[in-house]
Amino acid sequence: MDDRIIKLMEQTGLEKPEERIDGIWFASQTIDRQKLADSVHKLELRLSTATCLERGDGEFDVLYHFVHGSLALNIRVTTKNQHLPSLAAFLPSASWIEREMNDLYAVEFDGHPDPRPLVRPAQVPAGFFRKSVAESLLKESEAK
Amino acid sequence: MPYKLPLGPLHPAFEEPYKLTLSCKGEIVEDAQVEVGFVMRSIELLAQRRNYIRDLVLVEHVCGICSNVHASTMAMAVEKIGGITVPDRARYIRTIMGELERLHSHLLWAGIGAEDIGYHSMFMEIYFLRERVMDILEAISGNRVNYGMISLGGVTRDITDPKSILAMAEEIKKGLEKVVIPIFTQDKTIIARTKGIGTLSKDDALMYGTVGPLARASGIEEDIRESFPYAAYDDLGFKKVVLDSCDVQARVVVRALEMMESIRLIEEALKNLPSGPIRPEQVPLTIPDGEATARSEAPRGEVFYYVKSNGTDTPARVKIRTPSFVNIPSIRAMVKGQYLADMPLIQASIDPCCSCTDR
Repeated sequence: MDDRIIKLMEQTGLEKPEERIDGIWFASQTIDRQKLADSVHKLELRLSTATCLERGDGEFDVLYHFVHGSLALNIRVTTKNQHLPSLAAFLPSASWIEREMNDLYAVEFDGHPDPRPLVRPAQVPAGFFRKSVAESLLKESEAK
Repeated sequence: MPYKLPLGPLHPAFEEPYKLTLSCKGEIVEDAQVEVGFVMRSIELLAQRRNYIRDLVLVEHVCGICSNVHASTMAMAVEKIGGITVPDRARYIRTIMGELERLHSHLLWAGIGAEDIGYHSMFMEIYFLRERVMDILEAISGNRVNYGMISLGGVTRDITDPKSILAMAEEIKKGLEKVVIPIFTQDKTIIARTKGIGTLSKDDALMYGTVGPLARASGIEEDIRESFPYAAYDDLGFKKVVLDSCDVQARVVVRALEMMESIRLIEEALKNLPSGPIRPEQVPLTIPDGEATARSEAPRGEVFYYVKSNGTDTPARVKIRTPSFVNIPSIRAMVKGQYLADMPLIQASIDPCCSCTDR
């Protein structure tokens, strides 16, 4: 395995890496955001983006995707009551994507330095990508 | 007396709508707030309501300039989940399309850059050349903007006459060598307007996670065509262009030299085009359960796709990260202490694309 992944595991306490065709995947509930931000900055890993997934039980999976050259690292965390500690508080490149996830899925990032809407139009509610909200919005617009 | 000055969302210097609120003191800009979201179309949500074949058409509409790279990156992600192999000829054709697209995008940017500098005859020269690139794209795909060339597992149309396209590429190469490269790298007017302005340090570039020519002009040695080759880049060889002067001039030169590398790749690929099929005979309509990420180098930088499949013919989630989404916030780091009059050029130097950013 890549040295950088081993260092990252030492510095952040991530464990059980899963090697897949498109990179290394981790799942963690307890990862310390500050340690993660410091560690990826030291290892020159860039935050590519984050993806929000609906789980079906009212909670959401957030995947943080980090890249550097051929290395791709994905970390999966799950929300608790639709809340997550913010990574943007320590890593500026996470700011816009966390604001976007808040717009689209109404996931709250606690400690975000600038939690304004980013892309959401004023006339739709936060979380309009959630299945239930998207369906009802679509029905409404069809009825018109 | 400090004051705030709004630029945009609609402004003559902008290609697309976004808003900069500049805090100025006299002629000097002290800070900038960036706002986007004026052209949001919820393409990610729409992609979760269509099947994979229709999605490839849909994601081409994420961006009007780099449309091909979106379809090919989405196809790469789906091919990873479904274990679909792309035939050699299709890999080469995808590379040719990708590089032609970069050429026309960089030329479009160079034209707008020349216009912002006030060099109108240069703008005319560049757009004349760009039109030749559009002619090649039309000859290959039948379209000028959304090419519809990518299908799952391959491409939709073959290149039947590589020789005539090689001749057209030769004409573009001459134009680049004679006009575009010398003027952008040596002309006094261009250097006077671009040298030392809009500096983005390497540390800031890393902090904002910038990608593409913007990052490479700030000394970040990252080009996924070299570090993690896809399509035919492994076979054709690739040399990235990296500069470390971090200013607008570096971004101009990186793009200018990248155009030469693109032309070389196109010629090389056309000369060595392998024979064989352009797509598998049978492409599955449903994709097995799974998730995958894919990355490729668009004209503005790295495009990232995440696709999750639930075993049906419709994806459960498509996440699109475009290069401008990470590049646009870095304007804030570039403007501090700059002259207000340089703002149109500084914002143009990152080649912002808002339809990409908002999706």
